Amino acid sequence: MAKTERESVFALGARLPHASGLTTIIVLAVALALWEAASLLRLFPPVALPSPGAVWQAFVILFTIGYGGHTIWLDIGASALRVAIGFLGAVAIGVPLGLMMARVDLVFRIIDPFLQFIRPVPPLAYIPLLVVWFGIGELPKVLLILVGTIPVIIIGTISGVKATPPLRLAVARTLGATPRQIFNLVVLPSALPEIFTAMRVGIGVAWSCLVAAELIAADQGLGWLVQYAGQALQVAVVIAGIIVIGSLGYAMELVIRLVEARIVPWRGRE
Amino acid sequence: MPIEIARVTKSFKDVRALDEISLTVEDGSFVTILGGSGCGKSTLLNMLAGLEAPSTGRITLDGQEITGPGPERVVVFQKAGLYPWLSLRDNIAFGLRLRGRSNIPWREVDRVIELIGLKGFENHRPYELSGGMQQRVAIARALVMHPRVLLMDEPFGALDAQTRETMQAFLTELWERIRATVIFVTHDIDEAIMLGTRLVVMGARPGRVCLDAPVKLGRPRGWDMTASPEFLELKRAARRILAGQPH
Repeated sequence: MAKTERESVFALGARLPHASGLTTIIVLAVALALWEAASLLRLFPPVALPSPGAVWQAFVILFTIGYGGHTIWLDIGASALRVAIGFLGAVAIGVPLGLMMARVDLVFRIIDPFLQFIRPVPPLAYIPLLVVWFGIGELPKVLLILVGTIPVIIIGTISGVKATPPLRLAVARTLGATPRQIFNLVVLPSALPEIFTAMRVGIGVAWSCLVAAELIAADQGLGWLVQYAGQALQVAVVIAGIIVIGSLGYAMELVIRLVEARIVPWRGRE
Repeated sequence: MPIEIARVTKSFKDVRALDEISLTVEDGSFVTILGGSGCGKSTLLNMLAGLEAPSTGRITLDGQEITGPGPERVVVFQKAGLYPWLSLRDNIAFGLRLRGRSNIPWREVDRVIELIGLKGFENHRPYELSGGMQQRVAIARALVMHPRVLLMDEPFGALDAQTRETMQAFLTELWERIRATVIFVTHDIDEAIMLGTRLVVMGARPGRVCLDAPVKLGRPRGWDMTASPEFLELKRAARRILAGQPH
């Protein structure tokens, strides 16, 4: 009896790595059950906490009939496009800028005060300014996401450059590398892992800027959907919208991780 | 004379690390510089590499003063310092690639890969290799440059005892075939005597040369020589110098 128990414990231990997916499913199921129980027991008014069934219905409606005159696919498309353009813009500008700041001290001293200044400002605070300068079209929305995301990218890039192991630099120097060659062939690839970390943090920031961006006279988008439904006290729709935002953010992070695994396969293996 | 270290001193702020060192290194010799921690042996090597400048005195190679790093004086460091985004073959060719991507002598690269016994591993990444293999790659990366002098800064210091012994035998055999000029810094007495044709022992605070003697052991070298009178005499002298230092 004792022997079989011990064996079963070992067997469980051996299975654990593969069981991590199972753990997630169990946690989700328990959370769902608690949610269902809370709404059945009426711990909160149904307006504030709709049942899982009601949220599921909201999902079905969002994907078939839609809310506010169009289906959620339009909102998903609009939001994903805004996030993607804002985020890619931040990467396209932030990475080269961070590299220049790390390499040329003068550039660093010019840009850094602005960077430190915009970093603590919440994206919401830019909205009036962006509307006055760029109107109410797509541009101010994308710019808001870009401005919110770019500090993360710049700071990650600079720290990646600074984290280049001194030995890698010394090796290149003694082999006769010019400063330019050292930067292109040693510093740049050494900075890649941290740049990818910054991108993974940045995609989360981009999504969190989205709701603020869609406060600017939007009539579609997931941020707009959540706010519009919230004003109408359609909490089930709000929760469904939040779940979609979270899933899309997670999906985009997974895409970055896939790209990272291809471009920086040495990460964590040195 | 190929390498001349003439009355070189080095001070960091007010602390004198090296006290007037003068050494001449002949072509084709394997000079081992033995010393405890803080004797300035790595500082001396860094000055030869051009990574640091002497405070006073000068170092010349073929009459030319050394003012900075250069591919005619390649260094093998304690750790391999390979680039994880490059394959083994590309790591070895890294220095050659700096001279121009289009005319890398790949045949020479492949010859050196065979010389270090890593044929078949060309496309492996550094993190897929053991510590000893990585250090072989670092040596190969230096060798393909055909440097005037190969500088080695405790290249086996980070390896486990077993691998270190294998690598010492490997380097001995390699040197007996190519007879390059080598300056090899170490704190391991046996290693210093076994590898070198000439032994320089440094004392500390401030760093200075306390012993400079030829190693009169035959070739090919083997571990049975550690029991020979010549070996033991050098070892006794070296130990006396190293033991005479405050820790």
